[in-house]
Amino acid sequence: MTDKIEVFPGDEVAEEEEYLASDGTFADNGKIYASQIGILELDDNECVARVVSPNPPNILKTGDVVYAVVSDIRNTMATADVVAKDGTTRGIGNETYATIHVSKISQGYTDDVSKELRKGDFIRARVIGTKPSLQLTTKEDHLGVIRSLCGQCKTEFVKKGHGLYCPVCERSMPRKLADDYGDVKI
Amino acid sequence: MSGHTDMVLVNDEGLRIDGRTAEEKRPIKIEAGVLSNADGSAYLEIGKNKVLAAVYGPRECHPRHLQDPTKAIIQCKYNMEAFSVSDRKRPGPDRRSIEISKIIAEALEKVVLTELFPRASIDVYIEILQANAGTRCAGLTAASVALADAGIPMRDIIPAIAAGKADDHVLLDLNKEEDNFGQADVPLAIVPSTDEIVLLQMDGNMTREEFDHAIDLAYKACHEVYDVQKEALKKRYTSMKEEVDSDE
Repeated sequence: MTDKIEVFPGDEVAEEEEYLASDGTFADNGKIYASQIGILELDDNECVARVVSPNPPNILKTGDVVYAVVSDIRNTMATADVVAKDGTTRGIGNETYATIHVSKISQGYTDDVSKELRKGDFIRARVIGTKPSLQLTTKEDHLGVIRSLCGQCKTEFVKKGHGLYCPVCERSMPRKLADDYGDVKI
Repeated sequence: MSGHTDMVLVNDEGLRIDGRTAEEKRPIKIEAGVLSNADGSAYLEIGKNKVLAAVYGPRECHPRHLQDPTKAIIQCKYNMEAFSVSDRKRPGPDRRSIEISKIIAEALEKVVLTELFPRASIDVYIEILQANAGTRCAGLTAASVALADAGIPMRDIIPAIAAGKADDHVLLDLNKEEDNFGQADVPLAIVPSTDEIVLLQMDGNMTREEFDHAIDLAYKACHEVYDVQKEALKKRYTSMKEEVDSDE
């Protein structure tokens, strides 16, 4: 059974003996209070009290799909700055500096990070960890590079086979591409 | 506090120049969610004061050396518009607005659950569009509504109001004349659920008894302001729900 009542920050919503304080609530001195405006949900199955806010801060969780820009390539990992979370417009609330380990880049074996990602690439990735720091993976068909510029002439790469091709410099580069490279609306 | 006037601030019937009694506050109006680009916002009018507050965040804190690995920091910017007072105010931060920014940020830190967002910063911008005494209280009241509108977890919403003394009367919510030519000004902000004080200042002189009386008046008024704040948020929430319903 779930109850639906509108609550405000500071409203007493439950006793700590009955429920655990979850999202949008905090416990103090044996009682649970709301910390956000929203609809109160008392979940009797999980014994959890939570408040569903209409406008919650944008905090990344494991499993979220995010957009990021690769900022550096190392031997065993790439680092990226997360710029947005899929499906939201509000800015990211927690740290945006993320790492992608070499083993989490593509489904196959990767011996060199630079064969899959390069600095400046726009990628779509999934969050696989937030502690102690943000970790991402691109190990899915829909994840990977969605936009990339040629390192020499800065024209946008076009997809050619499994890699990328610069029509101006006429050279090819290997990449871990998302399945919709080239027609992603950013 | 500074000047002298022949003006009668409180007349023989106990009425003030704007017709209020000593224990009456100015009419107050709050609207939440007025700005679309901010994460949360509020517009407040109390008497002739007009205040706009906007909240961004939690977001990554820049410059990085300000980050706190254990909790979020609250950065507040209180700014008076050049046209907010009768003489043009020279724009930009000055000693007074830096002080007000600091005390408002410290008051808000007491209620926001900052430990949920390590390394982040919550930015609060308060713009005074029109000033008529009591803007730090108005700014704080608006800022806490904006924070709640932004969905930032907090222990409570903070209401604030000033009390003071003019013409030897203890008055609630001083207006400009009473503030300029009165004897004392005591802004107060509380956490309504626990009655804790998060902001208390005093400018001028009062006896202990007068001070206690002023605080009592301000406490009562704060709880009234709190109801107005809740009402504004409730209205905002209903309109947001209608928007969602019409989208579906």
